[in-house]
Parts: sequence; C-alpha cells; structure tokens
Amino acid sequence: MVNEKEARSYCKRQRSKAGVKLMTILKRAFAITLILAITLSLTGCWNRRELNTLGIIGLVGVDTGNNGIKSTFEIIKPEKTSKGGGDKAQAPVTYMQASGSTLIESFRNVPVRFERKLFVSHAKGFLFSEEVARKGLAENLDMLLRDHELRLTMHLIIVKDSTASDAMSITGGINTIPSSYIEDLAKQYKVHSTSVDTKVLDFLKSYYSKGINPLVTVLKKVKKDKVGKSGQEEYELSVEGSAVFLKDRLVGFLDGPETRGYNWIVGKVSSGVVTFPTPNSNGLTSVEIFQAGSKRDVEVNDNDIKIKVKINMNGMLDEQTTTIKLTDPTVIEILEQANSQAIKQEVEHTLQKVQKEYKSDVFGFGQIVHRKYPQQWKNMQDNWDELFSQASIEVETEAKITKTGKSTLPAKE
Amino acid sequence: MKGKKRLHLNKISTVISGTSYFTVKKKLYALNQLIVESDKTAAKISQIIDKLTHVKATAVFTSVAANKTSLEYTFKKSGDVLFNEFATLSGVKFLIVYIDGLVNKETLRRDVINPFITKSKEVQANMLLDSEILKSLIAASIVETKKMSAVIDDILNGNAAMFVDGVDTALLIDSRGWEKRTVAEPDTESVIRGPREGFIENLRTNTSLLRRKIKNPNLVFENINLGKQTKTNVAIAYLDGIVNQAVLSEVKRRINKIDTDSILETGYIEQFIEDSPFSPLATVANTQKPDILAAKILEGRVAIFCDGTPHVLTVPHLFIETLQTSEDYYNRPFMASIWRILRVLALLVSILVPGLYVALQTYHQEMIPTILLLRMAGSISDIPFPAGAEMFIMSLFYELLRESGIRLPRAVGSAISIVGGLVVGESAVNAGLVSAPVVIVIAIAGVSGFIIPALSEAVVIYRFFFLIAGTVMGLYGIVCGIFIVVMQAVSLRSFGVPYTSPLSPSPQGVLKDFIIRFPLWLMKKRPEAIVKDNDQRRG
Amino acid sequence: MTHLEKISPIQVILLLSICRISIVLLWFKFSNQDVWITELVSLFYIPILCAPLLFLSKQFANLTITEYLPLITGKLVGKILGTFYVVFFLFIATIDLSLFDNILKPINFPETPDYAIIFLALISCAYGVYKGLECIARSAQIFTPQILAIVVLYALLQIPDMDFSVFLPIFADSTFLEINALAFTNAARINEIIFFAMLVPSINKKGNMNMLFYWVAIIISAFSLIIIVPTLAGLGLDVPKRTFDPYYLFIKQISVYDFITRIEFFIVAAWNIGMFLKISLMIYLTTISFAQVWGVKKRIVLIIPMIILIFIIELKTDILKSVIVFKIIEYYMPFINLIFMFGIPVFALAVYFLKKTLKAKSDCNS
Repeated sequence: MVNEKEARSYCKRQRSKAGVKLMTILKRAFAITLILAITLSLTGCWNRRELNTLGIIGLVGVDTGNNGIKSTFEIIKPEKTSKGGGDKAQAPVTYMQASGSTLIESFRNVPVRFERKLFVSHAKGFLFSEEVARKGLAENLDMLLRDHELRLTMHLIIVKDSTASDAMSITGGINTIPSSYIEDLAKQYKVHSTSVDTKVLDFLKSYYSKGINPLVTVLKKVKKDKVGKSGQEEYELSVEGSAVFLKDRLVGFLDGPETRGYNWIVGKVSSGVVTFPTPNSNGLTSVEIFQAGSKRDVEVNDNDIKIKVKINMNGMLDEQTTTIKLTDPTVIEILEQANSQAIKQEVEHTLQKVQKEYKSDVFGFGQIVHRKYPQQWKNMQDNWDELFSQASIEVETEAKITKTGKSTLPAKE
Repeated sequence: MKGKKRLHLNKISTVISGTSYFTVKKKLYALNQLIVESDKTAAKISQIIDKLTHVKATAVFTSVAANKTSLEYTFKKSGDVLFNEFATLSGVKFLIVYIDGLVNKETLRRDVINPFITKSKEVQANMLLDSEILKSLIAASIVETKKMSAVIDDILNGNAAMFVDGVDTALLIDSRGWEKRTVAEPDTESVIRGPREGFIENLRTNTSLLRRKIKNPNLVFENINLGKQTKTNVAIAYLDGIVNQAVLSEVKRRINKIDTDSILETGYIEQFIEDSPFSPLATVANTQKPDILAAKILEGRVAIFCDGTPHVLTVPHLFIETLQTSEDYYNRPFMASIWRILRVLALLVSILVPGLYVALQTYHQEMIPTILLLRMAGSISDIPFPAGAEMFIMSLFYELLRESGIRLPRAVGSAISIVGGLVVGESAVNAGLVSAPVVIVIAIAGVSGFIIPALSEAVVIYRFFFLIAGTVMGLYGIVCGIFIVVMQAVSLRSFGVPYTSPLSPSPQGVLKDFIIRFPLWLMKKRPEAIVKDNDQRRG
Repeated sequence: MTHLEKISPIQVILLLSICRISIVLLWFKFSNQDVWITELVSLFYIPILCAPLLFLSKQFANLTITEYLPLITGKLVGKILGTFYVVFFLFIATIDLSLFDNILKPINFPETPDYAIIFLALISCAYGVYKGLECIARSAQIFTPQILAIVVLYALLQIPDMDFSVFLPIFADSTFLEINALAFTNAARINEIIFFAMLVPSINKKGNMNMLFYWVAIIISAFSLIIIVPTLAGLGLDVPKRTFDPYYLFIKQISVYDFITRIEFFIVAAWNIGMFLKISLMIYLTTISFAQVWGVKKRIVLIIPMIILIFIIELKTDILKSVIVFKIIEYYMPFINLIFMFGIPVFALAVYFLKKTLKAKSDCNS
C-alpha cells in the first residue's frame, strides 16, 4: 500500500537527510584538508637532520688555546659496507680543531671548515689536558649540563704530559677507532684496579657534594714496545693512575698502586693481583683478588678526627715462586698475614699522600661525617679538606686466601 | 501570528510589482486550492497503481492454459523456464513449471510426477480437483497458494509449481537441487588445529552447518529478502535467551531499512548497516568457518547469512576479536597466551616501525645506539633520497607487490616473487637506490602485517599515516598520531557496544581473555559488554 | 544537564592519576634528602585540603561545581565564581602546554618554532575534546597502565646505579616545621580534586566518592615516590637541583649490559601522551564549565574559540619563556590552587550551612 503522503514526506526526509549527510561529509572533508594543509605547510621540518649531513663525534679534546679553548674533535667516518675495515693503517676517523673563548663557541667554529654538522650525542669521552684541569674545570662543565645533546655518561679523562689532541690520535690495541679504544681502556679498571673510571656525572656528584672531591681517570701517552717491527715510533695510551682534584682544580696525580689503594678504601676493587714477598724466604707470591670490600668510619671527638678503614679481601693463590709447603694451613695463614700487610701498606701510603700532599678528601669521609654527625657537619663542611688533612688514620686489613688454584704444591722443587 | 502573516504578505506585495495585499492573498489561496486538488488526484492515481499491482498479485487461473500463458509472459519466454504438461490417466491436465538447473529433476519425476500419475488412477477425476487430495498424492513437501506473485517467487527460488486444470490453487513443491561447491577448508582462514569445514555459497547448507554446532532449539534463523532486483535470501541467526535484545532489534531495524537494487555479498549488507563507514577499523566482523561463528553466537552476538557468499557477518564486533583466532581456544592456555602477545607485538611493529625508523633516523639520532647508528650511516651514505621519501617509495612498492600477488595467475606466481626479490632486494641496494635497512624494515613490517588478516586494511592506512607523521615531526608527530588514532578507535561503537571493550571500559575483575588467555575452566562469564543479562557460561 | 557521558570509577582514577604523574615526570621540586618523608606527609594533608570539595560533591552528587555554585550562593555570585573556575581551567591548560613546550623543545626539537609544537598539540587535543569525555577517559584507561608500567620498568633497570645512602641523614637537614610546610605546599599542588568535582556527575557507579579520591591520592604519591627516589639515588642531590628535567637526565643514563642503552623514547612518548590527556581534559572542562555558567547549548561550538584563545595567549604573552613558566609553577601555583580548591569551596560551604540553618530556623518558626 502506498500512502502518498507518507511517501512524499519520506522522500523529503530522505533527500534532506542525504543532503545533510552530504553537507556533513563535505564539511568534514574540508576541515580535514584544511588541517592537513596547514600542518604540512608547517613542515619546514626545522629539526630534520639527514644522517649523511651529520658528523658523528667520538671524542672531544679540550686544550688551552690562544684566546681560551682549543678543542679537537674526532669524527667517525662510517664505513660503507660491513665488508671493509680491519685495516689498522687507516683508521676511519678524521680530526678537526677549532678555537673559541667558550667551549660551545669552539663547537660552532668547526662548521666553518667542515662540511657536516657536528653531532656530539654519541661522544664517548671528554679529554681535558692537564693545563685546563689545573685552571679549573667548572667553567667548562656548564655546557655539559645545559646542552641537550651531551650525555652525562661520557667519560671524563685528564691527559697527562701531553695535549689532548695528541692523545686522541693514538690507536693502540685492536680497535681501529680511537674513541672505542679509549672507552674500553677506561673500562679496564675492573681488571687491574689500578685506575678509575669517571663519568661526567660522577665528577659532578663529587664536585657539588661538600664531603668528597673528584678523582679522575688519567691517560698518558707512552711509547709502544716494538715487537718484531721496525720503522717509526708507535705510541699507545696507558690508563694507569688517577688525578686528584680539589674542588674543580687538578692538584696532583696518583700512580698505579696508589690508585689501587684508593680503590681498596672505597671498595671498588673487583679484580687484580697483589704481589708480596713470601715471608721467610726470598721469593714472591701473587694472589688474585676475587672480592674485596671496605668499611669506612669516622669518629669525631671535639676537634679530633679519627678515620678508620677496615678492608677485607678474598683471594686465590695464583703464583708462588718459592718452595714453601702450601698444604699446611699455618703456612697459608702466614701468607694471608703477609697479604694483609701488603694491602695495609698500600692503603696507608695512599692515605698519607693524599692527606699531606694534596690535602683533598677524595674518599668520601666527609659524607660519612655528614651522615653520622649531621649537626657538627654544618660547622665542619666548609673547611673539611683542611680538617681531613690533619686527621689520624687507622687501617685494618684482613685477607683470606681461600683457594690455591689447581695445583697444591709449588712447581719449584 | 496573524500580524506576521500580514507582514509577509505585505512584503511579497511590495516585491512583485502591480500587486496589492489582497491580490497576493487571493493568489496564494488559489495556489493552496491547486495543491489540494493535486493531492486528491495523486491519491486517485495511487489507488489505480495499487489495483494494477494487485492485479499482478492476482489469483491463479483455473485453466492450465491461462496459467501457462501468464507465466510465459511474466518470464519473458526465458529459455531455462520449462513448462511440462502432463495428463493423468483420467484425463486431468496438469502443468509443472520449473527453472532448469535449479531443480532436481530426479526428485521431481520420482516423488511428484510418477506418484501423481499412478495414484491418481484410484481417485475420481472430480475429486482430484480438491486441493487437499492433490496434496496427499504427492510425496514431497508442498505449500499451496492462490497468488501468482508467490508462485513466481518460488519458481525463482528453485521450487516447482504445479497447476491442475480446474483448480485455482497452485501447489509449490520443494525440489531444490543445484550445483554447489563441496564443503572444504577456506583458504584464507586455515588452521593447524580445529575443524576445517567452511561455509559455501548455499544459504541452506550454511545454516545447516551452524545447526550441527549448536543443537539448541533456541537457535533462531529469521529470513528476509533484500535487494529489489536480486531478492537475495538473507538469514539472521541468534541464540534466543543469550543474545542482547537491544543489539538484535537494532540489527533488524537497520537491515529492514536497506533499500537498494542488489545484495550480492555480505559486504554490501555490511556497508549499509555499519556504524562508522569512514573509520579504518571495521565494526562488523565476518568469518567463513562454522566453529568460529558458533563461538561468537554463544557469546551473544547476531550472525547474518547471505545466499551466494560463504562470508557470514557477526555483530557486534570488538577490537579484541581481531586478535583472537579459533586456535587460541583449542590449544592450551600457555601457548595461546604467547601467540596472542606475539600478535599484539606484530600489530604494533607493522604499524609503527616504518614511521619510527624514519623519525629516529632523521630527528632523534641520539636515541639510537652508537654502533647501530654508525652502521646505518654507512649504509645510507650514497642514497639519493631522504629517509622519509625512501621509506614511502618502498612502502608503495611493497603494496603494489602485494596487490599483484593476489591477482596474478598461478603460472606467473613464482616469476613475480623472483622479480620482486631480485629487483628490489639485490639490485636496488647494490645500485645505491635504496638502503638495506629500509628494505629490511619494510619486509618486517609487511610480514608482520599478515599475522592479523582482519585488520589488514587498517594496518596499511595506519602505516602510511604514521610514516607521514614521523617524517613531518619525528617522534612528536608519531605520538600525536598515536593519540589521534587511539581517540578515534576508542570512540567507535559497534551497535551500541563500545569498540574497545573489554579493554576500556573494562568489566569488574581481571581481563581473562585479552592478552593472556586464562584456562577455559576459569572463564566463567560471557563478555560483559555484549551480554547484559544472561552472563554465566555454565547454564 | 549535559551529563550524557558516563565514565566508570576506575577510568576516573586512572585519568586523574595520569594528570599529575605526567607533570611529575616532567618536573619536580625538592629541597633535600628528606623528600620522601615530605611526600608521605603530604598524604596526610591532602584529605584536609580536599575535604570541603568532597563534602560538597557528596551533597550535590549530580551536579558539577559550576552548576551547584549558583544554587548555593545565588545566581550572580555563582556566575562570577563559575567564571573564575573557567578562567582557572584555561590557565592550567595554558600553563601545562607551556611547560610541555619548554621541556620538549630544548630536549628534542631545539630549532622548531614554538608555534609548530603548540599547534600540533592543540590539534590533537582538540580532536580529543571533540570526541568527548568518554573517549578521553577510555584513552586514559588504555594508556595509563602502560605508562605506569614503563615508569616502574625504568626504575627497575636503574637499580645497579642507585645509591640510597644519599638519603641517609634523615631528619638532619630539615626541621619538623620545614617538612610540614613543604608537605603542605606539595599537597596544594595536587589540584586534581577540582577536576574530580567537575567529573562527579559523570561517574556511573557512584560508590564511595571519598574512597575514589583517596585512591587517586595514593597512586599519585606512590608513583611520585617511584619517580623521585630513584632519580635522586642515581643522580645525587645536587645535579637535579640545577637542571629542570632530572628524571629525563636520569633515564638517559641507563646502560644495562652495554647494549640496552639510549632507550628513552618510551619515556618521551609516555609523558607526551600523558600531557595530551591532561590538556584535553582541561580544555574539555573549560568548555563544559563555560557552557554551564553561561548557558551555551552545544558544547562543541566552544572548542574552536578556546583553542584559538589558548594559541593567542601562548604566542602573544611571555608565558612561553622558560624562566616565567618555572617561576609560576614553583611559586605561584600552590597559592592559586589553594584559592580554588580550598578557598572558594569553604566559602560555599559556609553559605550552604548558613542557608541550611536559616531555613531550619524559618521552618521551626512557621
């Protein structure tokens, strides 16, 4: 049954509905195209950096220059395919140098002569020369915190006896890229414990805190011992030792064993070898360190400060050059005592040197005082380094040689 | 009101020259009369049209010859409409009309014609004219009708119509039998574990396949004819007592509103009844397997069958269903959960990775590990295109490959894959036109896109969207894109049920079937969003 | 009246938590190593500061604050107070957008002009507001668990680098009074109660409203602790004082097993989405409160004017300067919050009780 009135109104409704639908669709399409057009026209893509316009920096070296700072950059050339490489003679890096009055200014002076923009987010380390460090690092560190590209996980390294740019061009070892070489070298502290690995963050934490001063990784350029080759002199880097700072100024260096003394005190020894003369004979014993820990304590009675350090170690006998009987527990005990004595000597030597010569608390005893005696710390915190240099020291060490390796009796008969 | 009327009339009279208020009023009155007159004429005309159409729905003629001529005229002497005239042994003429190819002629002869001829021997000629007796002589299921339109519809549906001389009732005999495909595994929904039956193009076979899964008298099939020209048989199936009545009535309302020429596939129905035609995410699901359909009906959904296609629609459709396959439930929960997590991961990878790659490489190089960055820098050093354009071109090329892979004839199949692999993979990279990482990324994204077939169109759209967003504004653009996409997905409703439930709004208690599938013996309730009243699975 | 949109209680909890947590992810302030004590003590002050609004919301469970203020205080005063609230929401939207821009731009997009970042943010948020409260709440329900999980994951990844002894001299450097003052200021920053008051009529299962808000407070405090404590443990106490994005700095340091490094893009995406959710909610509340105070029928009409207004305010005034934004957020926000979450509701409560007693008296008399 067709009711024409209904039919007509239905038709009208359909058409108007279709019309309305069409209108809404058109309006929506218009709105979307408008928005898209505006959005796409905003795409100057201001921050777009194609990868082949970037120069990826591996290391930054900072030296004193004519009017401020001379920085050296090591820029990594990416290899085209994974097939090439392995050729030691040609490291895939190039170096750029620029000067400026501030650090960031020297950064921006590089593109004047270099065709790519510097990209410093992947830099592995900052190398400061000794000169710059003696003047004070804090003014250069402002950029590290403020710039958005730099990360606080970069290694902070002081270069001894040469300029930073000198140290940066050296590639010893197997890695062809100096930045990887230096980074892996810095991480070697875990193996021998005669150096430290400082990141920028660690430096900043120590610098800002009033109870501790920074102790920084040191690199030194040494001549490489040539094995079987003749020709030019080759150099390699040595990471042994560390640099002592007072606030942000470099005051001196520690050598390898002294740095290990520091590591004993702060409990960062993870592996290494302690060699000491075997008691009652004239040979040497070497004990490999498995695990070491330390307990630090400070006692303050009025103006009398006493520093107590307790160090314990677990080790394995690794080498024995004499003929003493190793199956006897008493002999092992004697060895352990000699071991403790050796460690104690190292630690005391380090503490005295840092106290008397450099007068800087790099170990963090100030922080312990802050935790233990918070009220008194408020009076002591401003001249803590002076007070530290006059404190008395008490060192206790305990070494345990738990294993003796695979063999029981010494090899020498 | 009167004042206003006068004002309007005054205005009109001032606009049209040579008129005054009164002439305008008179003319308007005349116009009104004219409209009323034409109303009456229209009413008369529609009455005549009614009569004519009613004529078409006229009764069956008593004489066989008249019926034959009328039907011949209606079917326009089409060659496959066969008219068989017989006479019983007592001289009563009868006519059987059917369409060749739709009818099982063996059934017709054996169950209808032969019994009629043989048994009518025992019945008097005049008693034959009683339709009751006619019906008792034939061994098939019979509907009797007096309307010609019903006869025509049934003949088109594959039944045979039988006219007896002298009776004004036609007998419609069910004798359908036509060529159909065998029930086989559908090749787009293949499984490792589970039944391999799939629907075919015949509506009755499909409904029977569903009946075999749910042997429950509450399973109801409602038949509708859709499409003015095609008059396709459509069936709505649901489980009475569990189904959400609001959804059911909404489905029926929307289907009844469909007004179109042809319904050739359930896709047509889907596009007419779906909630958001412009959203990339579909709100109506379809399946080809009876076990999947049975599981969905048992959770309170409504299924829509359509004659002529093996794809069956189910409503409401939630996003979570695109992540589920039937094997998730046939396998044990631990593996099922792992595969689900993998599927979600694949979805995210397929949509986001091309855009993320371009964004990180172009804007945020500090967020890539150093060694990876150096490798990428090495491999893109000579490429002439910027990263975004390169990725876009490769995506386009991948889509072309995929589409041609669907359409190509079998014989050429391997050639295309060789061409695709060699040309793009080896040669383009070696020639320095595209870089190897881009090819890898596109390959990974493409392969992951196949893991969820239900979302394949959405994945393509979103991939391009995020690619453009990433090229324009880097990670920020991608995050804005994620925000907009999720907003849009979250606002969808499928027949009143929110599309992203049970993720949000979430029911009370733990989500038992989302990413981690709990063991079946812990899933005690039906999904809360779909079923409102009867939500305990056990009884 | 216009409360057609229904959201569930857990969506409210998640939405309000992400509002505050995304701000803490961007910026937080602390004075010394007793910050965790301050956080825990502020949990004690939050119920005190929120009591008036909670009480009022309970009384008028089906109305938003801009609807029942005219009921309590009369039409004219109610309209004025309602307009104050509209301006307040607009202000918070603008300040948060400016904070977002100030932190996003120097970190990731130094050369992109501000208007591009703000334009894209406003477009996305406008889309969210157009879709309505239901969609914002549902998106919050989808995103918030992921964001919280990411925060916890990052905290776990950094455990080897954390040194908890920085917290050690407990109570040493701050007096009881100082701690309380700081806790009070912290509690005053948590202005989510005002948003809660606007959202109350839309909650579909009105159980215990107080419990709902306490859950929000607990989640906010817990995650603030999870964010602040590892940051301080990892970076020491002095470096975070000198930078304005300490948490991001902390995340940038993660280096586990030497190959899980530089994974900070999850956090960038996380606070991006969190800020978008918050800004969408703010703009939504602005339009709703404006519609309720001034009687606009269709809320959608107001969206585009609000967006244009915010855009103009951002670009024309100095509010995008980092110095100004941080000063406002550090020093002025607690006071402004106190007015709107404690001052005006207390005033309304007083008038309400006054009216009640007057009415009771007149009832008695008649």
